[in-house]
Amino acid sequence: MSIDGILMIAWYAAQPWLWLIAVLCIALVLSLWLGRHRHGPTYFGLWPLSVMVGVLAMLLAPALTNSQLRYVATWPDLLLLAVIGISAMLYTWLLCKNWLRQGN
Amino acid sequence: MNQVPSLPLRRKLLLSLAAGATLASPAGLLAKPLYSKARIVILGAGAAGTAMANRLRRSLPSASITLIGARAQHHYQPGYTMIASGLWSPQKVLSNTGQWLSKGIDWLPEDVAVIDPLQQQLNLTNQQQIGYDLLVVATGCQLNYHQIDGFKPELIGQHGIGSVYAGPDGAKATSEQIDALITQGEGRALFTLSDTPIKCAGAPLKMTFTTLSRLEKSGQREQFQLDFFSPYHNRVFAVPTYNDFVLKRWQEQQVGFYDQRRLTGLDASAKRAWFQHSDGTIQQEDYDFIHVVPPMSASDVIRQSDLVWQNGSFANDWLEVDQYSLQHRRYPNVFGVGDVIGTPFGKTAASVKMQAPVAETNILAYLSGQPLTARYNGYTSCPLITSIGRAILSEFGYEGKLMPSFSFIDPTEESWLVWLMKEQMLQPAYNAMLHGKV
Ligand SMILES: Cc1cc2nc3c(=O)[nH]c(=O)nc-3n(C[C@H](O)[C@H](O)[C@H](O)COP(=O)(O)OP(=O)(O)OC[C@H]3O[C@@H](n4cnc5c(N)ncnc54)[C@H](O)[C@@H]3O)c2cc1C
Repeated sequence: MSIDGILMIAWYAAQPWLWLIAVLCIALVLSLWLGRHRHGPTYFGLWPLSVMVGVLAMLLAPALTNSQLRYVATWPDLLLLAVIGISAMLYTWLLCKNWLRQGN
Repeated sequence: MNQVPSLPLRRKLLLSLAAGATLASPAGLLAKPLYSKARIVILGAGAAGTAMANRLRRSLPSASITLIGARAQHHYQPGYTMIASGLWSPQKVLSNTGQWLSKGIDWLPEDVAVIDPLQQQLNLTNQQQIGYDLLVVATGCQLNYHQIDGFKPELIGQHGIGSVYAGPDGAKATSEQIDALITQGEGRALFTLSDTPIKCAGAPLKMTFTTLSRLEKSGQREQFQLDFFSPYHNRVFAVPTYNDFVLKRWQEQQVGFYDQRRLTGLDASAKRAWFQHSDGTIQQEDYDFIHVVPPMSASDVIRQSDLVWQNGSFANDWLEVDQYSLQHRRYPNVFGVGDVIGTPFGKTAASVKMQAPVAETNILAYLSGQPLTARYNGYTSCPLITSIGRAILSEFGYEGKLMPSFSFIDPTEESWLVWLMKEQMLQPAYNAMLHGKV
């Protein structure tokens, strides 16, 4: 399959979720912008929280797609699950990093 | 053999072509526009007809493009399996036919009643007559439930009868009958296969697998006997790799397999079915649930026209086209796309995705008097669901050759990713295909 074809299908697949992508982006931008003046070291808890959200996303992803964790079997399955987990983790970290600071 | 109406027509069409017209790009890419005043008529406003109308509208901006098909609602048929497995609602597969059509396509919401390829004339169900210079036939499969004695489509959803093929409501009724079976707490479920080519040949297998999943989930699997009846010898699927996989898996899952048995009739109120064995003997089977796969053919309007195959295994049932160019073998100004064509493989929406650019390229070549170079390789694909939640990406072409699209997906391995493709990605891919974008 051509790259063009894959991108076109990805665009069609993303269309019903554009509202969610927009909400997540707006939340992130607002969080970074409103919290830009908050300084100081981040709470120790930020990383565990981010990891927890990432792991939770990995555990829930199969069930949210009418599947089960035990069907995540091939390396592309595992890779996809890892991408979901890491994305959720990074998003949580970015969203919370300005708000979970010590000394503010 | 009939006299081909091509010569005067071709001259007329060629004269209407601008001298420096550019030809289409190779299949798979979008074709470059070509100047032609040809009257192009497309029969069938389903997946193939819609994709062809949108493609030809773009590549032939000055031609007249008429799409004929009475069905006001577009059905995303690959979703029927999800409905019949209790996962989707019927609304998810329904849309308006008109919403998929680009500006400049004349859609006539009527069916064609008679095709006269010699006179290049069509009679519609409202008595209207229409002439054409080039015809694209995309009327899909006809479900011949009436060939099963005692069966009527109205029975689907009653007396333990289901059929995933019977439209969104039929698929929903099928799911409800499976639920009723599970609620009963014990019983016997029969799954059948017809001995004709069928659209999405994986669907009857998927129905068996998803019913197994539902029974397992209910915790009562042991209380139920599942049996699959195939008209073929030791075969449920034409591609050996997948056939062997399925038969082996069913053995492990204790699904009974009865080959060389064709469903010939049933008594709905007695919950009894009759199968004809290859030696002619008739076998009676009682059931609590039966999944019926009807014999299929092209629609009667094609079968009664001179466009149908005259001999060979597709004779009197399917549209005669060259399996590579998709051009009619006797009427060069007729092309076929989708389930209607009599080719060894190719009855899936994924096949339409491959066929549409080939047919488009060859139509443009035909209109400009060039040789037809684009070739359809028989590409057929359907994610073969093996449990609710995982699937195999089966992709193959002529001679049963495996044709994997993604190097990183093993075409014989069950995977969650492939399930996601079926559940989340297939419909967007289908929609892009309808718009003629992939
Ligand atoms: C249960 C099921 C599961 C499937 N799963 C998959 C899958 O997983 N992957 C996949 O790729 N494909 C799948 N398919 C197959 C796919 O849906 C079909 O191959 C595809 O829809 C074929 O498109 P088509 O245009 O040829 O036929 P259709 O989409 O059926 O369209 C034919 C159109 O022609 C019209 N028509 C009929 N007679 C006339 C007439 N006389 N005049 C005018 N119009 C007429 C019909 O009303 C219809 O609108 C599945 C199909 C089913 C039923």
